[in-house]
Amino acid sequence: MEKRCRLPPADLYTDRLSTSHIFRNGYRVQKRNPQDLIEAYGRDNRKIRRLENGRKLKRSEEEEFVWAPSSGNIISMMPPLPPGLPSSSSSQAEPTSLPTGPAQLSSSAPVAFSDLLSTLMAQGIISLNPQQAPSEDALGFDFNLDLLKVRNESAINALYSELPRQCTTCGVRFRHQDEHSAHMDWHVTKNRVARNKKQKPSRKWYVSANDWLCGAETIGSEALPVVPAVETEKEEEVEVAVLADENQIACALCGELFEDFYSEETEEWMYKGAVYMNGTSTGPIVHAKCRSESTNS
Amino acid sequence: MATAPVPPVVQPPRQVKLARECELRVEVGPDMPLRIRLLAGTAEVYGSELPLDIWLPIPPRSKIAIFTWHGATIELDGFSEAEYTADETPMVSYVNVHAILDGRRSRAKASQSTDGPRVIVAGPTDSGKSTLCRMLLSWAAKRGWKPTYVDLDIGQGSISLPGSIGATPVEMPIDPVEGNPLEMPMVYFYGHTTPSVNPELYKVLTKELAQTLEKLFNGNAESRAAGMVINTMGWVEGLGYKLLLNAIDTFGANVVLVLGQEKLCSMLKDVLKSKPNVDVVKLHKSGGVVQRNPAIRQKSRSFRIREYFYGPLNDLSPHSNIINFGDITVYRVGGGPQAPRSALPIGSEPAADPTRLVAINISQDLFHSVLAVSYAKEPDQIISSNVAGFIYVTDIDIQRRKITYLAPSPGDLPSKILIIGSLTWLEA
Repeated sequence: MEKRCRLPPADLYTDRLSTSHIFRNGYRVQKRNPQDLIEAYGRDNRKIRRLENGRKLKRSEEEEFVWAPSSGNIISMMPPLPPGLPSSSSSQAEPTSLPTGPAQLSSSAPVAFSDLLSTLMAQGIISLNPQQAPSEDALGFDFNLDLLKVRNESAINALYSELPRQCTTCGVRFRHQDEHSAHMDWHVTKNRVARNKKQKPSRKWYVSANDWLCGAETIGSEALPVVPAVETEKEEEVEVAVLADENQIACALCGELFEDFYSEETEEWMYKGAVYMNGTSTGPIVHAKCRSESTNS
Repeated sequence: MATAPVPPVVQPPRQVKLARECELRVEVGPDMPLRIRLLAGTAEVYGSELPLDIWLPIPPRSKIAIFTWHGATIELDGFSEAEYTADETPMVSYVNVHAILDGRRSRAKASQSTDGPRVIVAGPTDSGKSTLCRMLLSWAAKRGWKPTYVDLDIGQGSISLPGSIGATPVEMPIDPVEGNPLEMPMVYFYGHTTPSVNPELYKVLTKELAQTLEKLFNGNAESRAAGMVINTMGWVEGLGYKLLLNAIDTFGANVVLVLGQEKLCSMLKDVLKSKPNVDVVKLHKSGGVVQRNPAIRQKSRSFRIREYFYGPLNDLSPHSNIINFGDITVYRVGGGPQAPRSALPIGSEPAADPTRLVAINISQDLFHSVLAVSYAKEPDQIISSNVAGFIYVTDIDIQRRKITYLAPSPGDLPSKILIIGSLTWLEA
């Protein structure tokens, strides 16, 4: 129990070993890319041997299927199904009851058993939760000088494979598509601003402590509360436009269709006179005039 | 084990294969350009991952380390003063520290009431403190946190100018090229590059900064859970040590990372024994840290000031302006004429109020000074106010009572109250 309490929160690790998994004949098949494989198994000889003996290593061009048992305790799940199937919480909290290995399993798991398992799963009688990452190497919350010196795959995966989407422009990684999209919008805006600037930009004055405190609440949105130079504000009012969005063809406030045009500067289709309603670069698009009307009223 | 540096004679484009956990260290000269790109594998510069197949310009005079967890091929094009591969780095322990901090951030976020990690990085000069800070911040930002970077190192100043302390939220991994996180700095001006000039003022400003951050954390659970990474001065003896203890206390640090000095680590462990919620962790310094002599440190201060006005890649344009003597007031904090010891009764010490404000007469003495523009509305708010930025005095016309100065951006000064310290600059 004590160990369980010291585990990092489950969500930090859930997608580590379970990027994708399907079941074949009762075995869990992890779809892994070779790099992950090295990461996950590279240091543990025991595991490597298991892989080498796991006769059915099957390779395709981009991915490798690793035959690994689907959960810690397939045997214990043999019929009759006990009422106390490993619940999701207990199996998640179990640090690593890694199974004894495919070689052993295959000898004790004849085809009939595999079929039974697949049938049960197909009927939804049992389901296996995404396997929890082995956390034997998890560092927990305390600084242990000996553990600090040892390479810990979970720490590195947390910065790489757990963040599968990567910006090809700057290398920043994201876990989810929406974060990635917002980031790409940020690049587009930044490039546009840079292109529209007729001269080098200047460093802005820092904000006052009060503005800083207000601003720090909203960081993460695109509207960084820097003290705007007065003339750039005017420039923006003259000609506002946002990237055309196929999913939003009409103003969210007045319902009229946007007028689109191809911008030479941004090399993108744009909506004329349109802005994002909440001032960021996501969310509903509205006519600038509609927004100012709605804020005035 | 580092291989011998490559002599910079003829340097055609070249590829370097890095095995996992190895680091390519490159020192760029003052005027020869260098660019790098990642051809295969993964690589990061101080915690910020490199994109694949994109050329990155490396600014002059910079020293960078390209590290790989999985192995990588790097291509270099241009000139470097030194480049070599190292296979012994403390990166594993650094990333493990990050992983623990990451867990603590999640725990703080879940509990809603506990503070996230408040990490203070201590160590002598040139032990890699600001680099470690940068890695911890970039890794945290990569994981989606928005930690606050606090820089108390008035010697170099990685958030703003030397002579100032400040804080900035970090919401994206710090740019591998541009380096310093400058998204939204809040800066207090101390005015000198060593705390011994006015240690009381240093403490007062540190406390102001800490109080403002406390307000931020009280109102913003996300920032509180993400916590702080605090960089400190390299002076760890005597007064420097006392100020370090003061900072640990003032910011409520709960993790103290000590780089490369056993003595400091055991002293801190000893004195912090009474605080069970403070971890003192000793870490090795990286072999890539370059020792800088005082002349180089002075030079690097000068470049920081240049960077403030002109940008790290000469990509910013400052503005020159003229103002009348009467339009501004320049204050000095503390200083003031002190009575010489000989004029005092025997046994009494000269006691100038360290936070006393003196409005100074504008004279040729201001020539080449770097002045801070205060947000104070009244003079008595000066030591409790942060600054809007800096101006550099380029000319004083006593007859016409006019000052010519360089400001970061066009338009009027945000305030008429300016602060002078001992910071000067000779624009090269």
